[in-house]
Amino acid sequence: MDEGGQSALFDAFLFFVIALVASAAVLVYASLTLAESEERTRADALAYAEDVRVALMRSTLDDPWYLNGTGGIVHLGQGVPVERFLLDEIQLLADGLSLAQFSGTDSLILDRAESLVRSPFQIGIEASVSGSGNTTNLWLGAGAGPPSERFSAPWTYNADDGVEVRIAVHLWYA
Amino acid sequence: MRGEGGAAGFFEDVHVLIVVVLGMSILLGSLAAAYATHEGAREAAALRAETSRILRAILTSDTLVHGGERALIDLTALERLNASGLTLIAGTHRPLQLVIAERSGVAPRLFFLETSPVGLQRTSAATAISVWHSDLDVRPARITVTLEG
Repeated sequence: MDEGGQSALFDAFLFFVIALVASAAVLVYASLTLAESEERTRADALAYAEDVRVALMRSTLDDPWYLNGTGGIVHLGQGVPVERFLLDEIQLLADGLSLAQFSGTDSLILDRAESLVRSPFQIGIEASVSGSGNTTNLWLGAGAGPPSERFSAPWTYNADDGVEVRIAVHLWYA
Repeated sequence: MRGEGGAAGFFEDVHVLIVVVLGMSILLGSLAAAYATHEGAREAAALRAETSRILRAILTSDTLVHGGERALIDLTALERLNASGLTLIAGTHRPLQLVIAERSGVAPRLFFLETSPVGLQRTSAATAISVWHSDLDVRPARITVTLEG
């Protein structure tokens, strides 16, 4: 092979390498533009969490109950919204009742919430009351609390006596 | 008339030609693949956006919601809804499927409505809603809208 032939072959290989690099860049760029942005996914999940919170809170319970301080069953009757029950529960917990006294209705609310959310989400409900010096918390869900990576839909209720109750629905990937 | 030098020159050019053609083919192939993928993704995104729009239209439809509250669907209105009513609310003539599955109550109900059979190419959008039976009976439900693409 003479000098001109070698030079042509070198140029051809150089072109080949450039074509390879350009192809890789084009394919990488195409795949990056395809991937849904993380922000969009997060916004959708937050909107879904809010829809779940609203649907769950305004759904009604069929005669929910709890055990009072003397162990007697208190029936609340038909048509009590989940939101109303949780607001009363967290106030009564702050007044000294224990979680076990609400366990029957709490497990029903959690079952309902879990059947409402679609895969691949898991759900937990958190309620807290503060303002009178102490803070009382309620957690319905797996584990001791929501994971750090979650999508939350909170709502705050202000009572006349300065007490602030917060109920939040948390979703996270199972 | 071809001498020794001429034959060698030809075979040298063939090597170069093969390398160049190969490089060009890879470049053009990847450009075509990227374009096709991009177009497919763009169409899929447009279909997803359309499905979400229809879902929002259903959740805020005056003929379906109870007391003007978003995502609180009136049971009577839902039972009365037919395919032409759904088409009117959705504002599309594409085949559309609506499924509402209650998640509480003694006998949770399932509502299924189709404007026409939805093909295999489809996109879905889903969220949580409430179905109003009465002021004493409001049930949470999953709503899924499936649109043919």
